[in-house]
Amino acid sequence: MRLLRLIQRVVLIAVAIGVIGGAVAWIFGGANDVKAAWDVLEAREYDQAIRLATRAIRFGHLTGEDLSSAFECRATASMRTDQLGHALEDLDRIVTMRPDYAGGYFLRGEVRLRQKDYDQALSDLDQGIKIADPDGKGPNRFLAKRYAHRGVAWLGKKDVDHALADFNRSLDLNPKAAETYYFRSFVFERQKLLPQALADMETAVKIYDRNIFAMPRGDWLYRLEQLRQRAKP
Amino acid sequence: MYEAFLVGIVISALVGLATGWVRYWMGFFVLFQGVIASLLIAWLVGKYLKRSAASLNPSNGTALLVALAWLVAFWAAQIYGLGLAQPWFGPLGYFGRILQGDARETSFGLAATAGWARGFHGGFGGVFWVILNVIDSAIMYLFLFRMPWPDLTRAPSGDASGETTANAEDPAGGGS
Repeated sequence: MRLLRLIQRVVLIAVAIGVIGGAVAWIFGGANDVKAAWDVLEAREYDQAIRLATRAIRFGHLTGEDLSSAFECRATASMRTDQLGHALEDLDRIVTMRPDYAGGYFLRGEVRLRQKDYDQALSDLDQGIKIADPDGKGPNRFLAKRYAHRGVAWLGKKDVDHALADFNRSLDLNPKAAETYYFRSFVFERQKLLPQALADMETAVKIYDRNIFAMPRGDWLYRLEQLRQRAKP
Repeated sequence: MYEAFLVGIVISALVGLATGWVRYWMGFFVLFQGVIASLLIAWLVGKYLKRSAASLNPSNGTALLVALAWLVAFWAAQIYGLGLAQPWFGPLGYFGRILQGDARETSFGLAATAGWARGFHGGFGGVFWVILNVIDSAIMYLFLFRMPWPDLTRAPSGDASGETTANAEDPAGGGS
């Protein structure tokens, strides 16, 4: 009789787990969660993006590109909330999962750039550019940001020639990137070409878009004023 | 009473852990979360006390304090449970950002306005989120405070009821 009761309980628990598991799988559609995570990321709701991406990763039965996309979304949200270590964990997974995907290297390079780990950032950005723009002549406008990041990494290593080459290439691809003009002004400043530095800074302030850049405009205006003072004869 | 209090703390903590975990994944089910959790806690505590044949009939003051302690245990465990569900444990930061209005928590529930009951869902943060949580916790507190404590000193209802007694006196069951 006791054995019968035990079997009855085990069966009940198994059925309950099955029902709950089925409900969870039905409610949490992995692909939908990934899409929703990217949507809320666009809306700058980073906690929600992390939650939805994690839900997709844990319960969504995702594989391949979908899983990589969930990790990428979570890494981006982590990076934007300054959780750089967590972002790197996810990006390492993406790179291991998809070694031929340039996006993983680009994002990891960006995170390492924020950590001021210029050598590793350069290595990742090089690898990403090698995959996405093998002959260095691709017209893809989205690569502008990546060349600009590599330029910043070169600037961090005080290699102004390489930095200038990357910023120029970036501006060829996207002449309206205020951030790139801002960074190129540092190159010119180091080369003691103050008029060029001032011209870049004026262009940067003119086309500054506060919806895109996290940098406060006040800092840019301050730098512009400083350059103006120094450029005076 | 002391044992019942401690058992209630443990049960509240376990229910809180599970609630926090579910809350992170699914969102905050306004009012229903508090109702379900408090009924579950009260039911489990009552079940335990009946099994241990403990008889309790606390005063209102004691019941108020006990319910408050259970509610606090529930909330502490809920926060911890939510942290366990997160990819990286940080529930205080999560709730803090929602509290400040920098983030929003997915919430859903039922509301009755102008005679119509309708479902609502969305992301809430800041003051409105606090109000929803206070209402939910108040309902939970009320349910915990008014939980039916097992009073085994009373005779079972069947023995004292008129119908049973009448039937006992009249084996024919009151028929003509």
